[in-house]
Amino acid sequence: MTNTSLPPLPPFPNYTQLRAHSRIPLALWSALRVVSVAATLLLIGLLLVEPQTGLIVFWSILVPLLPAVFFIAPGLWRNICPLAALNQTPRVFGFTRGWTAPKWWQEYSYVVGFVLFLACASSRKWLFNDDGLASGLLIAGALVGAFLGGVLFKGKSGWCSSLCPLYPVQRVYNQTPLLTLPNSHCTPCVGCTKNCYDFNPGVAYLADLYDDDPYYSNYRRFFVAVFPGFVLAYFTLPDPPALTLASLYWGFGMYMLLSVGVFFLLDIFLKVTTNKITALFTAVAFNTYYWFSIPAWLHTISGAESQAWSWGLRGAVLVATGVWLARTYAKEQPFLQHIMQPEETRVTVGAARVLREATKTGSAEVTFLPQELRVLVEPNRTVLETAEGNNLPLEAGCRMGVCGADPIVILNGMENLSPISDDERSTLERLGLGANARMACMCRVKGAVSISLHIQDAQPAAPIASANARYDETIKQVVIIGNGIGGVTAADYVRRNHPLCEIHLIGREKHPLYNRMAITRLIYGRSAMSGLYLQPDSWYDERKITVWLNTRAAHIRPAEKFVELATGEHLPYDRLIIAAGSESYMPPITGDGLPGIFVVREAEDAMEMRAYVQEHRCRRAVIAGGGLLGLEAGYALHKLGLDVSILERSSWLLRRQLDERGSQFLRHYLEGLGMDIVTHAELEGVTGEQRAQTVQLKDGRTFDCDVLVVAAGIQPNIHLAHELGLEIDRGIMVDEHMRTQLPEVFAVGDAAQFNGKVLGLWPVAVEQAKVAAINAAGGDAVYREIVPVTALKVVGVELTSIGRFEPETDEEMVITVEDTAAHQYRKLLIAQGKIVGAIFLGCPTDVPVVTEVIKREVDVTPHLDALRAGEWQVLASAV
Amino acid sequence: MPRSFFDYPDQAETKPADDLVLLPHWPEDKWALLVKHGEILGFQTGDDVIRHGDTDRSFFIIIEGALEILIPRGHTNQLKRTQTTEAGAVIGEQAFLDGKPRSATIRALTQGKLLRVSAEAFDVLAAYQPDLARDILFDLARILSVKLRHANLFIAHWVK
Ligand SMILES: Cc1cc2nc3c(=O)[nH]c(=O)nc-3n(C[C@H](O)[C@H](O)[C@H](O)COP(=O)(O)OP(=O)(O)OC[C@H]3O[C@@H](n4cnc5c(N)ncnc54)[C@H](O)[C@@H]3O)c2cc1C
Ligand code: SF4
Ligand code: FES
Repeated sequence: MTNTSLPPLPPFPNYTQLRAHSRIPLALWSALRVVSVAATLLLIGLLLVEPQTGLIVFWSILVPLLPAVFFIAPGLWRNICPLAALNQTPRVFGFTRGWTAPKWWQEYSYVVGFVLFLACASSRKWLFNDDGLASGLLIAGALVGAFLGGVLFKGKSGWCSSLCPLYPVQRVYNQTPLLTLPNSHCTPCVGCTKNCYDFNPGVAYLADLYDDDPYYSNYRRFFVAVFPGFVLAYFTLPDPPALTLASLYWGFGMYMLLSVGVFFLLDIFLKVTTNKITALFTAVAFNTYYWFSIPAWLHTISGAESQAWSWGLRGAVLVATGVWLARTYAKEQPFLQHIMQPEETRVTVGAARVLREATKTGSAEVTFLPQELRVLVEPNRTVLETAEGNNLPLEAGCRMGVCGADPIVILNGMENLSPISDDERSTLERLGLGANARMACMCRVKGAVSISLHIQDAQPAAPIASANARYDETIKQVVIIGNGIGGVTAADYVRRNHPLCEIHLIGREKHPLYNRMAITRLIYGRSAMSGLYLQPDSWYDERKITVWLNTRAAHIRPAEKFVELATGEHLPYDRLIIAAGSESYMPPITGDGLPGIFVVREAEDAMEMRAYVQEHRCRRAVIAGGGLLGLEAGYALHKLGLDVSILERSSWLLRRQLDERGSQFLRHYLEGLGMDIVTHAELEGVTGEQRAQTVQLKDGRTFDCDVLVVAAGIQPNIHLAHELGLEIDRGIMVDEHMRTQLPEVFAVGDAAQFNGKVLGLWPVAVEQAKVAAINAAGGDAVYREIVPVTALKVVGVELTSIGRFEPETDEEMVITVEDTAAHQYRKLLIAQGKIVGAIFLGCPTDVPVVTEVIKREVDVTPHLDALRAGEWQVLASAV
Repeated sequence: MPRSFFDYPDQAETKPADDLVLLPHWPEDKWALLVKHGEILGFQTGDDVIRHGDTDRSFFIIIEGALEILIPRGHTNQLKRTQTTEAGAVIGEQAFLDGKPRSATIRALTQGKLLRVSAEAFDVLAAYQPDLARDILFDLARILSVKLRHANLFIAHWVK
């Protein structure tokens, strides 16, 4: 048997734990018990038939060994004691009544047991030592008593751990076994005895001393207190007839009284725990016993006196006692620590089973380094979700592989992640990250992986191969206005396609490219801009891009082809890309301009809001606008600890991402978080003394507020284009080459309007910027509209909305599947057999496959039944 | 006496209302929901599941395996084992409730698994299922109070 797989033993192991570590088979103990019962019967026979020999064998040879056995390996005796064997026979053969001992028995059987012990042991001096019949009857009586106890009471409560006269002696000597042999009787334990020695040998005696019931522990103290006096009396009082019986018992009484007196004196005056004194008394009793009995025992064994052996053995007993005492004292501290330790909270067996079963669902282990955190994740969960669920330091933005907020390094198991998509690859390329890097939001786990969050561990990307790109050498200078994702992507792609031209990138904000989508984190988070930057500082230099931060492009002079900076400098261009993005739309409201009114567009907006909340100890926030931005801002303020009300003009939240039913699910959650959602609420204005204090609605309702956030949509930045006389609707109108009416001027991202739409989405800006850059460098690229995918970035809501979700004709088909208990809602819009849009609330694992089906325009007609049944993973076979 | 010394198996079964059992009457489906909102972590022998001084607010339920609880002692602040703990135990609930740094390091003695419920995950659970969250909080508070009573009793009894 090897024990290597076993957990190490706790400080005070119980017998089942000890048994697991024991090498002695239970069957061997049973065999030994048969032998010991047989030997006892023989002994009784011997005492009756041949009392002379029997008495010597029993009282002079065997009995003196018992204390030593109790002291060194008490478990040995508990396991092979013939009385215990008989006591347990009814249990083994199933004919015990198994009664639970009544209260009085539980309390007093120990007292009766030690009185019996004192009576019998003192009576040896005039009766048992010399009388074979009496001794034989004594043993036989004990056997019968033990057996009857076993017939009536459960476990060992009928004899071995109650009435047995040797039990009190065992309890004092067996406190700290030198050799622990686990209980081999109780299979299983039936809980028959309080602080059972057989159950937990290491602490049973301490547990007695520290029992809550003072009587219970005092009986035990009393016994140990009289014990040394009793032993001394036994060996020093003369045997009758030298003394009358009355004086003999009187003598015993006086010795014991003296002993108790000393004990209580010490207990009162010594500033040590009672355990120290009980252990000391045990040690004294033990040594006294052997001091006197060793010479006699040696004499019986060898038939001769041997001073040397006597002294040697006495010395050995003393040394052993020293060790025993030290060990007994040493364990009191850990014992006390343990019982003073807050007790353990547990779950029920049923709950534990549910937990165990939950781990069997084919989950895969994701290991995060350097944290050494191992998470078991359900298949298809993303690494980003896993990291967030475990509070690991990983940023997030788009959650669709396009922003670059969450790069990770795969140390092992790349093959166990969902394959890399084009969007993700181009983000990694922009970040300059090589083959072992991924975006966490795009890694769906299929098997074991180990991941480093230290992006320094990433391999560098292969150098950009631009040699064979088609570029126009007459283009010497490209100017890009706007250092957002549109501008930066444009600059990157101009450089990829044109190794020579000068590139100037002008950004009004103070920051290099940062994660605009995550700026609401600046409101509640404590790490300000750190982690929000999307590229290393060296990024612009490595691509020979001249970046002008904190610099505004003031005018464009199309005739002279230069951009005039607000600093007065002129930047000539051959090609110009306008990526000026958008700003927040501010509807006309009364009170506009009061401090406390905010929008959320730039990092600065969010940081100022946080500062304002602190400065004015703001308690209440009102958000005007129940769109994505409004909800994210509201959630951020909620996390900052403010009471938040969200005002939505229409009848439900997220009109552009959700239908009414889906919105109900969302509303339930947000209200559950404690946010107040108000629909049909149109903002009229704000009033307040010196700062915003009350929000008014058009219908007359009012709301107290310290902060008002207006999230009413975006307004493309078109001022510069105005000067150029370009055609402008909402945004700057562009063709499929992202070209404005001026052939050398392009517009992309939030500033541009294509096909009648300004979607205002990050991936759109990225795609458009790539197209504009290639064309600006002299190539030829065409923009294909992408199906817009949006996600709500509020913890606890897994919402993805793709394309359209309301049918426009009768032919279009809608499939919805909902599970209220699981907070899941899914919807598909199918037009001419193809999915054109979808909503996912609470079921993130279906998103990738449906997205793929939409992208590839797969005909899903064959799968309609499965889709209606909610089995959307069937689509995996279609792509 | 602490149950852990004399944990008689029959009593564990016949005492379902044991005052330190968390949510003894919760049906299995509620536990399954809690699992859904938590994270299941694996550990290897020697891993520190909780580090002394950490400030993360989570409680854990051990699913499999055994761990030891180490508390810094003496002036060297050396970590000393005070207790071991194993499957079925709830740990770390105090820091979950009070947000204070962890007072102990919990180190794996074997390999195993545990469920972690962070304050953030709990927030989400509370928003979706306020009833479950209330159950958990009430019961954690009840258990804390029981422990406090035990501690008070102990002190009254044994500290002279
Ligand atoms: C809080 C928030 C959350 C969002 N969440 C999502 C999301 O989940 N998914 C998604 O797809 N989209 C999201 N968006 C929208 C997304 O961020 C934008 O669509 C994207 O940033 C557009 O990129 P852009 O480069 O066109 O414009 P911008 O990022 O706005 O960059 C334009 C830059 O040009 C600068 N600029 C303007 N005029 C001048 C000038 N005259 N001179 C110099 N510089 C100038 C501006 O200061 C700005 O830095 C979110 C936006 C916000 C604010
Ligand atoms: S309490 Fe358990 S281990 Fe102890 S004697 Fe009774 S049945 Fe055996
Ligand atoms: S790339 Fe992963 S969050 Fe944007």
